[in-house]
Amino acid sequence: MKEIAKEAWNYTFSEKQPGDYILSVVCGGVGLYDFVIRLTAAQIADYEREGIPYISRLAEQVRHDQTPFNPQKA
Amino acid sequence: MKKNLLHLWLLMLMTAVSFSCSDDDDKTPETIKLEDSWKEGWSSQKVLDITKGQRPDPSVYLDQKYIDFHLAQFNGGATYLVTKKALDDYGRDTLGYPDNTQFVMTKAEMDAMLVKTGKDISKIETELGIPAGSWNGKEMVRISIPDPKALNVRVPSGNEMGANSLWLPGGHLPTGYSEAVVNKIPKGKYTETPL
Repeated sequence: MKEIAKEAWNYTFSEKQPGDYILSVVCGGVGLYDFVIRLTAAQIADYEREGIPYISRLAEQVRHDQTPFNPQKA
Repeated sequence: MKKNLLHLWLLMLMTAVSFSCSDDDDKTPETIKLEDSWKEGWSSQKVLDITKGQRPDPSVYLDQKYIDFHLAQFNGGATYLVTKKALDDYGRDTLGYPDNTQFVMTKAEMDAMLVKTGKDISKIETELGIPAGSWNGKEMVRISIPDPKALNVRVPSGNEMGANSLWLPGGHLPTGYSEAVVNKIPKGKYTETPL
């Protein structure tokens, strides 16, 4: 697993194998937990176009509401 | 004689008034309810309708008496739960989200909740509204902050990084526990104990 980007108490973005991207997001309030997703093809395309700012935005969306990301749970 | 009676009557009257006033003014109510503390024109829904990032400070829509009462509950200490893995991964020098916020609950309520659940992780998840299974098989750690005042303990505004789609204005979890926010927590301002 190759770590690509990390911000303390926010997220860790890694590449498990070439083209297989994993985003672990710190979520919660009085109880903190990690929500880990595997990026979809569309998300990978956005990342390749925008870079880390996209990942940071994606982490924010995951933290706000995990429901839409449940199918991507890794 | 008449004068003495008049003095006595006046003394009794003043004593009665004094007792009556002290009953009204000096007694601190046991609780101040959120539903009685909204400023005119404000409601929970009105705050929720405002986009995250633009929500006002709670003092805009809540009575100061409620805010003071709510925060006084944290005088005995604040606390939250986290996985040991997250502490190992992100470090112990400074805890809390990068936006200088960390949600906490009162020490007393955490103590009571842990007794109620018998420290059963799945029950704790339910009590705190954590998605089921998130902490399954993980080593858990309790972070305790003895002096949250020193970290600017405050009622959450809903703009915090940790405020998700289930956040409610007024400083309570959907499950009812009291919550507040503190600044990032440097080493030396907290203790870490295994759950």
